[in-house]
Amino acid sequence: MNTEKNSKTDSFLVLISTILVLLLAAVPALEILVRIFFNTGVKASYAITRYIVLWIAFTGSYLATAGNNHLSIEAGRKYLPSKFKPSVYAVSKIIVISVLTAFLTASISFIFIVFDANEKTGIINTRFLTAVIPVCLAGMIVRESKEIFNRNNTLSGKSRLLVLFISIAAGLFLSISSVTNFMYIQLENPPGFMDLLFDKSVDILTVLKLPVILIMIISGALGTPIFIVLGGITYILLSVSGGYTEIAVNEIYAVLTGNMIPAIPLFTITGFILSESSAGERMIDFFKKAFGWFPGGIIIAVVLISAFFTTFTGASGVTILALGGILFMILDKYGVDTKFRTGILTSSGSIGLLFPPSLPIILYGIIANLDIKNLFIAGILPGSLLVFSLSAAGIVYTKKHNIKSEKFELFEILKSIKNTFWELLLPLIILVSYFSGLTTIVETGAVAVVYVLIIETFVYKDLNFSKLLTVVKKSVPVIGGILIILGMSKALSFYMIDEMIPQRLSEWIAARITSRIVFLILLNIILLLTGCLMDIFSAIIVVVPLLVPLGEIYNIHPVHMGIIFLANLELGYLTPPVGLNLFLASYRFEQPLEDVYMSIIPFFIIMLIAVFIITFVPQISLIFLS
Amino acid sequence: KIGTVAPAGSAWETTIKEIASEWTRISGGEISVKIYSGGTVGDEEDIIRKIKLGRLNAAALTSQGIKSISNDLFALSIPMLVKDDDEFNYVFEKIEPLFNKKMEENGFVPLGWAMTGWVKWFTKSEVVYPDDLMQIKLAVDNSDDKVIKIWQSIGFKVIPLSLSDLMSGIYSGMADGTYITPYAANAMGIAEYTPYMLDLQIAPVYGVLTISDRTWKKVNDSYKPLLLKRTGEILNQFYGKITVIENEGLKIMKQKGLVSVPITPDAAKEWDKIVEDGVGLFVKESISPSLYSEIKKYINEYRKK
Ligand code: NA
Ligand code: NA
Repeated sequence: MNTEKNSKTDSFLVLISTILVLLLAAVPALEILVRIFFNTGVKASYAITRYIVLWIAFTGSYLATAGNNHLSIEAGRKYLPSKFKPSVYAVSKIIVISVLTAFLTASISFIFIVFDANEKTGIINTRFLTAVIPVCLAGMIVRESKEIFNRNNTLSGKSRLLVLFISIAAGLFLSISSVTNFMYIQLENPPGFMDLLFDKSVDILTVLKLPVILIMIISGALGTPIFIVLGGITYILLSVSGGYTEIAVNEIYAVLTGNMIPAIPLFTITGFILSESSAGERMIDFFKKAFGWFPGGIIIAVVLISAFFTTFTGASGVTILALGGILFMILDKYGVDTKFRTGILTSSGSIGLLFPPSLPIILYGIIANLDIKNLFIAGILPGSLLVFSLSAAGIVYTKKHNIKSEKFELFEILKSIKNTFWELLLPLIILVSYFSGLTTIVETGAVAVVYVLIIETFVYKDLNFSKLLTVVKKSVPVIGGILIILGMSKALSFYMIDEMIPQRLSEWIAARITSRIVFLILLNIILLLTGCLMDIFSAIIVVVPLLVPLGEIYNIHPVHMGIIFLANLELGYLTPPVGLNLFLASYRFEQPLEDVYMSIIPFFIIMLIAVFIITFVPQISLIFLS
Repeated sequence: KIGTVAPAGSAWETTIKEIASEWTRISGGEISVKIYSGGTVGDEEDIIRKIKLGRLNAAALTSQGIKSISNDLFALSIPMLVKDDDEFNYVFEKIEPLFNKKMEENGFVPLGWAMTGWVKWFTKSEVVYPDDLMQIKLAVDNSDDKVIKIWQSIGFKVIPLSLSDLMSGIYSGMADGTYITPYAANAMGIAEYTPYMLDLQIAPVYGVLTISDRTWKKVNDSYKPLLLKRTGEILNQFYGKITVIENEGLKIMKQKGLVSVPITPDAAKEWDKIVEDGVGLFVKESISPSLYSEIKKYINEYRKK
């Protein structure tokens, strides 16, 4: 009976998500029309879009919990001797439920402290709009708790109750900080024992900090979802460094309501619609005939397409989510094995940042006070070097595996274009509308969704409402899973910024390191870690102001510094264990995270060499500058 | 912990640093200050949330940002409401107690206000008359619906863009101009793409240094008078300092091709007319009518003098 009720809730949420997804595409699309025809905008469209994303993220995250779709490392558990399984399972459950409970209380306190009771967004109460956060977190706690009592798991009757009890108790213990803060804001005279309770809880956590974080990391290696491990560690670090743990929820809220974020769900949905229809079959024919006539041709085409797409989506990982599915399929049909496909698509999903008009370059120019044109000129050769390295890997692979080339026949190419004409038009539409200045990046995503919905429904008749529900059911948990990881890692970044760790590191370097070469090597390592831990926009805002003076000390050309910075970050997104693109790839290609780690190794080495060349041969960046 | 979006090394940031070291000196080291500049702890909306939550204690905010504490605090930054420094100073002095009260009602103690500069139009083609501006596409901040609506009602073609899209919007040709202070225009390098600056002061941007009332309560009362006095003194010098830097920035931008377009007497008349029609709209949409009539009263009082 329970499962039936669960699946009813899930179907209902899929329906809600579908409506939200359609709205998310419709609002910016309408905005474009209204702008073109009436020179105005849709009322509150910006605010509406940001809350739709928040809703999609949290319903998606709930659905990911329901479908056991949250990203995690599964391999460790497989090799675990069976006598350890129950205790590992129990510890993992306790971590998951207590962390979710801590975030639940923090989110309630966050909403009450930050938003006034009467505050409105458009015509809707803001507290109501943000209530989706605690509601979905509560739902996730209920699902996780029910799962303890599932017949199939390894725990016995009594220990199940014990695990649930410890989970909730630990969750409430972690919540003391938020509850105290909440009382101080809401009550005229908060009870005095709250202060004492808060101080005691901080004392206890300070002692337990290291072992608990260690247990969380081990538990993460044994299958506890990544977002819980990131969230739990961050939450504890925030608790012992001053409290006000609602800040963790604030960071999630800040990321999810960010200006560029709606592009992620929009391009992801576009990609899923294409890969769930027969577009892949139609397109592979075209790809084989158009690019298959020279060795590695299709792989090179795939690398170029990914790099190009990343150029204007700005490496928020959208490339893999949007194009990954369909390119994965195309490479499969071409005869490329899973490991190579995963590796090359994951790595080419983060190159392309160095070409105009990439937003990270523009942002770097603004923050470092450099001429943006010079940065664009400087990026061309280093960017091409990265693209070339991956393309070369493709050629070597095709030779080694004897993948035969097709004949070049213009007539056949034209015939294959005819079959998939409307789908091939999509990149053109995206490019023209974005580069002509007709649409912003988010609006471009909306155009893509609307266009694909129309052609797949009416031209190719591959899509109907129930198929759309399937697409949403598959993609929304992925979107939710990714966005919540993004939120948690933003919270971790905040902790580091708050503790001034980047500043301290840069002061340490300036004081200790004298050699330019040592500095550059250290810089590579630090930037790799940065790309691994921070999204690109936070990284630019936080790290660049520290980097510019360091560059002066070690006599590095400021433009070259910009190229070093971005090239390293590109590689950072591929760095195990927490490079963002690895997570995205695991989701999109439905490969276990550990397999993605393995697949990336050769490409990581190739790109590492390229990045070293870019770092140590400044001429590559500076040759075209006057 | 003080948060600000002003970049490290900027005029705002160095002034905050100066104030911070005064606080430490006055309190004999009891108050230690950490400054988080350049938006590293979020945009102004985010900084305000962080202060409400308690993790940050203070902030240096602009009149753009304090809108999310209360819309009324933006009142004097309404485009073309006050015309020049003298008018601004006169009205601000009268209205400051009201602003302070608004801040305090929301849990923020204002430590001092400062004028920071005037926003001007930066465009790709030469603009003199309002009609010229109505022909081109103008990028405006998309986070405030009311302001967007008002520009539209006056007859401007506006492209609501987020700040992060602003540069690429100008770069790609989605927008042909925007309004921004010359100081910020120089910092962002925007003038290269929009080389015409109309010599018309559209709106003043002012800033406030504020601390949460929870934090203020923890400060020893005996330090407070001196803290406020020194903060006020330093902030009062700020406008003079930033004007010098802004003028240097203008010189640099002009060397790179920026054209400052003088406003002719009959163009000025037309802009005045726009103001008459436009300000009413702004007021209806965004600030409380009682505050507006009060401001209007002071403006008229000043103009009669
Ligand atoms: Na990407
Ligand atoms: Na953009």
